[in-house]
Amino acid sequence: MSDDGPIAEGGAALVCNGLAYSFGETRAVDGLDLSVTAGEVFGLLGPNGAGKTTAIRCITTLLPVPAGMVRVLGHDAARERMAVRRLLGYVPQQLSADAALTGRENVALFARVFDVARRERADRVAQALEAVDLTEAADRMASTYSGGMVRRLELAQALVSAPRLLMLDEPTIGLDPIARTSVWDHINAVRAATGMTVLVTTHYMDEADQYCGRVALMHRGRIRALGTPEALKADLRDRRGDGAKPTLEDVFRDVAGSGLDAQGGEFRDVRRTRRTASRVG
Amino acid sequence: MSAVPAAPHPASADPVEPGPAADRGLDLLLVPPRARTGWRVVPARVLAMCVVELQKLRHDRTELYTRAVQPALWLLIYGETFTRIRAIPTGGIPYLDYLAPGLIAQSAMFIAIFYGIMIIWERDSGILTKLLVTPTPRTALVTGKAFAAGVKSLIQAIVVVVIAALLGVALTWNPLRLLGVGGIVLLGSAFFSCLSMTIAGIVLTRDRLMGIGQVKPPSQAI
Repeated sequence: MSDDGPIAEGGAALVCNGLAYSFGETRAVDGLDLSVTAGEVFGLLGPNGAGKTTAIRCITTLLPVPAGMVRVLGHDAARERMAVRRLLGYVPQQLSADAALTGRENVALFARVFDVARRERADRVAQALEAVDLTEAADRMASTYSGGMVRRLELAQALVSAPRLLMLDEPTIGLDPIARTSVWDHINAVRAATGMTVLVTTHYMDEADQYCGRVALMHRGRIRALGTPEALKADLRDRRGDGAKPTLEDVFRDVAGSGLDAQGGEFRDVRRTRRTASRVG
Repeated sequence: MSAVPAAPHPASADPVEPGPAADRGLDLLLVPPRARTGWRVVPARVLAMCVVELQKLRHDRTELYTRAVQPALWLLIYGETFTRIRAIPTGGIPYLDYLAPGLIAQSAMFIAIFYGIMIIWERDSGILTKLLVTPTPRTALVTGKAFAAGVKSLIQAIVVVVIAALLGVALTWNPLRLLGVGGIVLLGSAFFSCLSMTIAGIVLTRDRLMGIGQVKPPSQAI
């Protein structure tokens, strides 16, 4: 891990080349090419079943990389799994904090599994909780937290290991608008303070427009459009030429076309998303 | 908050305010922790999982109490009854003394099997997913879970021993032997939780698991 410093400066934090993954006959990710610059907030958008979560699972080493290449800060996700995991902070889509522990204990568990030395563990856990504004609630059981607080706690769990690449899979799903803003404010504050790269997937186009430096629109396993939200919108406006100001949602609709319902994700994903939403909300 | 040397101004209360990490007292979040390597990884992960289990038990002892009910009933009702009627050949020792070790084994096995199966629930929630993206080898994760089940069973075994002692079961107080019992409970539970984790890993969904739950080992045979 001696080489993560220089690469992090201005280089690419994450590179995917021709990443492909199939579940049986279904090609969930079908030749994904992606390059995330160090220090940016990159949004991966797409309809249900576009392959976002599968791509994230390949990048986070949860799934193997059967075809193509994934490099996280220069480390190959297929061969150097441990090195990649040490560089990643991952917040899955589902609820991942343990309700039977206090906030502090939840974060301390992740400090332990990331080999934080005993003498700095308490300080590091306190700083991670401070970064997401949970210092006062730290010793309450996580089961008493509100949806937004749970998300922030999960963020603290991911931050405690000082990751260079933060992967957030639908961080604001099922949250009310105020909690969503709060989660994003904390993501941005931490990113500004630590300079880490953030890769986020979301369904909320307004969020992507507001908070992401660059976005990639994914559909049927591939990137169909890539750029800053402004550039994508301007591009669509020029192509339409009717003077109306398109939103990112229009760009999304333009890219995904009408076939949105054709392959709207597995039943299991829907069930999981709903359950997450109901538990968080 | 940790002491941040020479911080220009105190940690800002406003989370949105950007600034260098040190200003906000987040200096530690910039430095990745030094990685443990080699043989030290697995014991460290096992310890982490066991600590979590102990913390959970400290917060909520309900499970400890409810699980104590069954052994207590066995000892109080079956034990006392069968001691009187001498229906079961025990080779001359009182039936209660004969029963108590079996109860320890039974509780340990039940806890271990259910604990292993809990991994299905953790898989459905994100807890397991998140742990899988930490520098924890899969073997360390399973070993950690197994010994966490062992720790839980050990505590339950202590409860059973205390109940048995209160009921006047002739127990040995030889610390070496009690330590031996502890060791057996720990390893036995680790084994059984590994077994149930294997089953959980094969069936993957809760619905299918219910069928397997029917063919539990015939514990009533003690």
